[in-house]
Amino acid sequence: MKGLFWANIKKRPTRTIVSIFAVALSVIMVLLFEGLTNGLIKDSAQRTKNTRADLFFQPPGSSLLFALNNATMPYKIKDKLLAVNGIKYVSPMIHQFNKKTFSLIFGIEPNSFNQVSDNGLVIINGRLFKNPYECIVDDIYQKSHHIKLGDKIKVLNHKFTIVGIFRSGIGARIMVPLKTLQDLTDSHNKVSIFYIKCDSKKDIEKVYNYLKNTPPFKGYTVTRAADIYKLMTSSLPGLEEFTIVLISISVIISFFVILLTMYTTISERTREIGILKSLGASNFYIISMILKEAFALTFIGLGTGIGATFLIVKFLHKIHPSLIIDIQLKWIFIIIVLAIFSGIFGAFYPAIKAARQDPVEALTFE
Amino acid sequence: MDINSRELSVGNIVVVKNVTKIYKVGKVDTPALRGINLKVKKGEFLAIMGPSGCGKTTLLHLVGGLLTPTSGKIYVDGYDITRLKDRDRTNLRREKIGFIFQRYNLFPGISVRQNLELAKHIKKDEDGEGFLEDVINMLGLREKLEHKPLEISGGEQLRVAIARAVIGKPSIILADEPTGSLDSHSSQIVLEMLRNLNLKYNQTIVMITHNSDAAAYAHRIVKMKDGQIEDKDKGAIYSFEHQSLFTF
Ligand SMILES: Nc1ncnc2c1ncn2[C@@H]1O[C@H](COP(=O)(O)OP(=O)(O)O)[C@@H](O)[C@H]1O
Ligand SMILES: [Mg+2]
Repeated sequence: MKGLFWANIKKRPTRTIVSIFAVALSVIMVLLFEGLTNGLIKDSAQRTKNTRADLFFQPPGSSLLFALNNATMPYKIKDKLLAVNGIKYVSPMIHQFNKKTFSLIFGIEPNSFNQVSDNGLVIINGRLFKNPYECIVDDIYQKSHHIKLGDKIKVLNHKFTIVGIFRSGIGARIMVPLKTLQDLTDSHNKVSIFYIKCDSKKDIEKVYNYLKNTPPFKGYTVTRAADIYKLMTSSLPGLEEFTIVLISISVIISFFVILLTMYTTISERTREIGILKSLGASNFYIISMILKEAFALTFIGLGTGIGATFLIVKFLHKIHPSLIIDIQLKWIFIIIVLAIFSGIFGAFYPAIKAARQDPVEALTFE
Repeated sequence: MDINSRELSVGNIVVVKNVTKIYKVGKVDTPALRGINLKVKKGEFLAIMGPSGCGKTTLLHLVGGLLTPTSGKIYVDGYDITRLKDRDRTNLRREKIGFIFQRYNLFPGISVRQNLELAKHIKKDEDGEGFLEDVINMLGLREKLEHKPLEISGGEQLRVAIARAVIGKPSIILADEPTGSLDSHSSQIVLEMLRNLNLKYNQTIVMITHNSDAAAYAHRIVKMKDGQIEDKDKGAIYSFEHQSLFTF
């Protein structure tokens, strides 16, 4: 049984390898995409969380995918928020997506930022910005872009001098003075978000409900730090739909590759199937033989795909240390189930066709 | 069962009754068998002779349950195989029939041992190693077990085909021109072995052959022509009852 199996696998090495690779490719595609989007979201959520803010206050209809919102809130809401019972600190900011660096830029007020974050902004090299066109970057950005103090980067078509490196893991990778970002985006005295720190953990819920239900704050978007991850995932427009499409393509690839492979293999092996039948092999025997082969191809393809995904991730990390790729066990499990499912289903029709074959016709087949 | 019990009681393991077989290829009908009647006794070694195209292979495949007749009845070990469902005919093949094909039909990709083990696996042979080992020794295949079929001679390939056919101790061995492509010396060796198996395990053998020297190893020769059995009476030249004549 095993002997015949390997003889058949080895007889057509190219076809075997091609179908294994096709299955592997469909696995890599899904895992890598999931890993990348997840990593991006998780990393961004984590860095937002690390600011230690309890609540995030944004204009009505905003999403936590900060980069998509413009600065539209008057700066002076800050004072109204500070007057609310239970709020200790408020830090106004602009979150801006910078096309040039393809990353998020924060315009911050260092003082209030440090109040909210409990001095979370740690300069490990150089100093904080003092002049309008100075900026600081985190150590990951520094390493991945080989940056020295005094280098210049372009933000919104203006050159900024890098004067300090801060410890990564908080906020954005590039931070500039709030005032400068307001000027550059033509939003004088406007901000896109307030980070809020409450007097104590106990006050968070109370303040949250107050802001949600009491004018003039009512209608603004308020998010609790605990909800960030969930909200970020759901606020990426079309992510769910795209994931479904991607998975469907992956399943269809595996299904058709296995279907085609097994269909070709059984039409080449009519004699073998005829002999097995003359020996008394039942339909079940023939069907399970074909399904086992398909299962093996799918399984090896899966293993190759999962292994290759991790190699690719390793390689990506090498050339892009700041890239966060988070491949969840859940997704590995999902892809294993889906690939095996589509492989077995792909082999089903060829297996039935093989079992139904007339043994005599098969034996006289030249 | 509508089988004539008298026919079974005299020890007929195969009874073929008024069997016709017409092959339909497209709109063309090819009558291969035109009313065959044949009885094979349990333990008998029967040779079927006849010119090419007279329907010998068709008859063999019918008896082995690989084909169904156009009309007529075939009883194997008491079962009316023309009325069996596909699944039951498969079971019958597995338990009662061993085929030796004209071109041996061994699996070329795997070793002799693997070919035999595959058959053992399919036949769900529970005889343990003993019987298979015995057959391997009897057929002189011990040295060839790890070779692939194409690495051994035609005579040896035939012996492998024989070994495969007898695995699971089927009551009937159906052989289609087994020595057709062998020289007379190799043929003799193999036919000798076939006869020894027939004697030792009391297996019924139906062998098609072109060669009257080969046919001489059988207890009885049946001649076919144009899809019919010829000279029905003269067919029984050698009597099964005188089997002692051929034992040494
Ligand atoms: N599968 C088939 N389809 C159509 N005709 C067949 C088939 N097998 C055999 N025949 C025809 O049936 C007749 C008997 O064939 P066969 O039983 O193989 O004869 P033999 O074995 O005596 O040479 C021949 O005319 C042959 O051409
Ligand atoms: Mg023939």
